[in-house]
Parts: sequence; structure tokens; C-alpha cells
Amino acid sequence: MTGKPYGDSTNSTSSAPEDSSLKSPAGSKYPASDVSRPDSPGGSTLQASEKSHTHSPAEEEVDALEKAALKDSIGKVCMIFIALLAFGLPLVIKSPTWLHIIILIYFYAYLTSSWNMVGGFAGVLPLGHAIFIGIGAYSSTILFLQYGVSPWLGMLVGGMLSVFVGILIGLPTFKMRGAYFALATIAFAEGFRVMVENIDYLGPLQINGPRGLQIPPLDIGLVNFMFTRKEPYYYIILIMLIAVLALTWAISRSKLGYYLNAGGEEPEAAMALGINVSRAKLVAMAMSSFLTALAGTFYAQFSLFIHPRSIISLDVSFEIAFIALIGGRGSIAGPVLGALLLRPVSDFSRIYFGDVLPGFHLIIYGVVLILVMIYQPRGIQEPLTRFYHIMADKQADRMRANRLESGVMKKEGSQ
Amino acid sequence: MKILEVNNLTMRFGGLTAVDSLNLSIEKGEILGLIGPNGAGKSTAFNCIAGVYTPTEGEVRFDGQITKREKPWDLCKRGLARTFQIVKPFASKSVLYNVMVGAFATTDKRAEAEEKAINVLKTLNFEDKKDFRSGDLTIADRKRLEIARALATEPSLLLLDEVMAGLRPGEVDEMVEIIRFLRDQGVTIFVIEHIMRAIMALSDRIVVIHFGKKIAQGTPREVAADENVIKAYLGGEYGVS
Repeated sequence: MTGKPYGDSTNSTSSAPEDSSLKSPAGSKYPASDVSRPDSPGGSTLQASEKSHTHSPAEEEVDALEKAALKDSIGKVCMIFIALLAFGLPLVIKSPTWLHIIILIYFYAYLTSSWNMVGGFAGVLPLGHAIFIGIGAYSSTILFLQYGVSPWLGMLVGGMLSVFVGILIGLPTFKMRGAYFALATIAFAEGFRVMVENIDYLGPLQINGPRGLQIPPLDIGLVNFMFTRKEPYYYIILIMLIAVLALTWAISRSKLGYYLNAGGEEPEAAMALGINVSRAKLVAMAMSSFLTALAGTFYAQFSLFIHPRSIISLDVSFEIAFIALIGGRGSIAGPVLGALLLRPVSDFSRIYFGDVLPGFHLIIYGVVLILVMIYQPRGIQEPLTRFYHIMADKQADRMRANRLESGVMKKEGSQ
Repeated sequence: MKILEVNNLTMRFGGLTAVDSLNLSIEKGEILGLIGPNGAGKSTAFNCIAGVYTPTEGEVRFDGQITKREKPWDLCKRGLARTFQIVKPFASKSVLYNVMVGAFATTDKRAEAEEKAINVLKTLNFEDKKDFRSGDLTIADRKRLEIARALATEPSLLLLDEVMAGLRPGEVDEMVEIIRFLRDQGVTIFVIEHIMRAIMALSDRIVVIHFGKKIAQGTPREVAADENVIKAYLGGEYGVS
């Protein structure tokens, strides 16, 4: 079987096995020429249609299929490696400070991935997602403090509440475009913050206004979502991040993902193709607000103290948008890459410049954003993805070359 | 059997009457041309039929059912597809992705949508460009993509809004072939076009509108000889001399 594409490369229609045994030196030549085949600028999607002169279309297809399968397994190996790395990290890194920084990286990657369902796929720019973090955090915290409900349940309650609020916000605002939508979402989030800051009691619920709520760390344990060490938080947010990435991946390949992308890019054309654009956006908004609220509960349990200025602030909303824009809106890897790049900048600038230049990280964000928008308008995920594909292509070719050679050797040995 | 009936259709924007009591109908399997000078109201009429605008007066019947209050996506699901005069590809996505968006109108499964999209691309001789970024296509290919996308929704009536504008003569001929081929496949076609050579060759019947009003209709030959049509296109003086 392995002899077949090789025999094809000599462009003869005679039986492949004979051919390969006769001209075995060419066996190493063929893959070499394959490696030097120029990688198309458009990345992986174009390579299959590229014609190389020594192959007929059918042979080209077999080649491409085999290569795609190899690349697929390379991708899987990479994923498993990254997953092992992520799960093993706390075994190596013991410092709570470092773990804290990494947890916040995952936290923001998670938030941005949730945001991405609306801000990336649906092509609008929501700048008020902090409202959902706030709803999530306050729901679970109030339920826990006043009614003793496990934060895990409170998390779901907050999620549902967020869905409701998200749809209420989405209904009027999705009719707006561009900056108007962004401004409207800011208005909702800020309005919510001011309300929370000025309400001490909402009926029987103690909100505590600007003083916020503190969760006394009395009953430590999984049921109460409270731990003394950082590791459990690390694994919880890691699993949440993996889940949201998997969901994003599934959506991007589903009908909903196609509809969101189409509606975001050309709403009129999308409508003419049978897409109820506003409804698709509302569905995305519902999912996004639900997932964002879960992160709110996580943050509340992680810091055990929430107050409106820290959790419903515009800073958080903007940081999510920064990470998404720099990492790459509408891509799956973008939010993770953006968080990996920006969160350390924020943390270290706070550690080293916090006293002298507070807010210095925002200046750095701005500079990075300008540079990225000029040189990589689709975010840093694009050059990195391209680089990955080039490397994977090379690796696939190398692996196939080895396989072909060993196939030839086997045949020679048997004759 | 009439697939589309337009009765007394009027569309006003403030004081401007863009379409004025327009009547027309299309038989199943027909190619109907709609022509008229710039600003005659052709695209507005299309938008009313496709559900983008709700007409001020009058009614549109598609497949025997009045379309009032139906949105473009509802009509698309019922078998009415359209292209846009100003092409609107999902520019950052591949050709295949674009066509799959259309194919999702009739299926929820990704694999099925992909298969349908590939079939459409094959019938339009477009398959070799399926992995191209649609924003990088030439204008001729973008127009073809508009048709491919619309076709992927499996329409019974296809509204083509100036799909030949901006094409070279050779490309126009190719497009005429494509449209004829679609008709042979059983798709009824309603086409707006400026290129006279193409629309004369293509249409079974032609409706001419001017300032929103229908001024003539008939076979291409009849319309071309019509005095009102000549006046509308060339100005009143030519009719006299």
C-alpha cells in the first residue's frame, strides 16, 4: 500500500510494486521534493488544491488524504502533550503566587472564550460582559451566605439569571451595529454596577452596596467550593476552560457557527440565505452569558470577596475585549493565546510598577493592540496557526518519507 | 401554474414612490427579465418580493401564498432565493464555507450540507476554487458564488439581481449558459439585468419598468420594438426623430 504513491511519482502506469523495487534510489528523492513544495500563503486549506506537475489529480488526492491523516495525528499528539502539560503543571510549580497568576490566565482565557461566542462569531463587540460575571458572582454568593446553598448550585442559578438578562439586553441591542452596540452594552453594565453599588438590601437579599460581600472560609471542601490550596482552583478552572474550548469548537463546526459567522459578516446576505440573524445572535448571547456567569461564581469562590468595583467594572469588560482582539476574534485558540500574552504583562507590571505607575499595564495593552491591529489584524493566532501548519506539514512529509523508505526496504528484503 | 404573482405592488419611501402599482406574474419554469433605466425601481421591487421591505400597498403571492409579514429567511425556507446586485460574500471564509451556509437552509447536518455544497459547486464548474478565500475572488467568480450560495438553498424561484454587471463578454456568455442550465434543472428564474444582449437572449418574457411603473411587457422582440421602451432608454427626442 505504501508503495503506491511512490510508484505514482515516477508517473508510470505500470504495476507499482515492480516499479518501486527497480528504482529505489528515487524513493528518497520524491519525499524531498515534496518537502520543498512551497506552502501556499493561505495556509492549510489551500494545499489540497495545489497541483504539482508530476501527479495526476487522482494521485494528488491520495497523497493529500494520506498527508491529512498524518497531520491529524500530529495535531492529536500536540493536543495530548499540551493537556498533559496543563494537568501536570501544579506538580512542578509549587509557588502559590505563580499558580495564582496561571489560574487568572485560565480564568481570562475562559471568560474571553465565552465572550467569543458573541464577540467573535456573531461579529458584534459587546463591552459589558462584566455584568454577567457580576450576576454569577452575586447569585451564588448571596445564596450561599444567606441560604446555605452550595455555590455549585448557585453557579447554575446565576447562569440561568444571566441568560435571562443576556436575552433582555440582546433583544433591543442586536438591532444596532458597530460602535452603537458596544456603547449600549457598556451602558447596561455600568448601570448594573451603579445599581449594585447603591443597593444594600434587595427585598430579603443582602447585597451590601459598595462594601461588597465576604465569604468566610469556614467550611472548606468541594461541596462548598472552597479550598485552602490553589491546586483545586487550578484544576476546576482548567476543566472549565477545556469544556468551553470544546464547546466553541463544536459550535464553530455546527450550523449555528456557520449562521453566526454569516450573520456577523454580511447580515443581509445571511438573511436571504434563510438565516434569522437576530435569533442566532440571541442564542449565542444566551450561551455566552450563561458561561460568563459560571466564571463569576468561580471568581467569587476563588477570591472569597466580591464588590461591585472589582467584579462589574469596565476594566474587566475591556480586558476581555483586549485579549480577544489581540489573540484573534472568532478563533478558538485566540482567547487562550491572548490571555497567555496579556495576563502576565498585567500581573508583572502590577508587581513591578504598581506603586510608581498604576495602570501601566493598560498602556502596554494599548501599544500591543495598536501593533497587532496594524500588522496582524486578525490577531496573533493567525501567524501562529500558519506556523503550526507549516511545521505540521513538514513533519507529516518527513514521517511519510520514512514510512515509504521502510516500505521499500521491506520489499527489497523480501525479494 | 404561476409561481409568483405580484398584484398592484407599491412601495413608497416618504414622498418617493419607488415602485408604483406593479403587476406581473411568472409561470413555473419560465425565465422572466425585468429591465428599466437606472433608478427605475427594479431592485426595490426585488426587495419587496424577497421580503426585505414590506410593500406599502399591494400583495405578493409566492407559490399561491401571500407573503405579507414573511421575512427573507422564511421565504428562503419556502424556496425563494436571491442574489445581490452588490455582491456580499462572507469574505473571510472559503468558497465552500459560503455555499455551505446556503446548504444549511435545508439540513442541520454538517456532512450533508458539505455534500450539497460540493454538488452545487460541481454543477457550476466552480469546484476547483472551493478552498479559495471568497474575498480574493474575481468579480465574475463572486457573482458565480452569489448564485452558488442561493442555489444551495434549493430554491424553486431564483431572483438574480444584475449577476452579469461588470463581467467581460466571454464571462457573460458563460453566465447565460449557467442560467439556462438552471432553468433546465427546473428552477424558475426572475432576472434583473442591464446587459441587453444577455437579457434578450435569455428571457422568455420581459417586463420593462420606468419610474416605478410598468411601461411594457412581452417577448424580447416585442419589447425591443416598443416605442415607450425606446423613449425611456434613449430619451423622448429619439422617439420623434
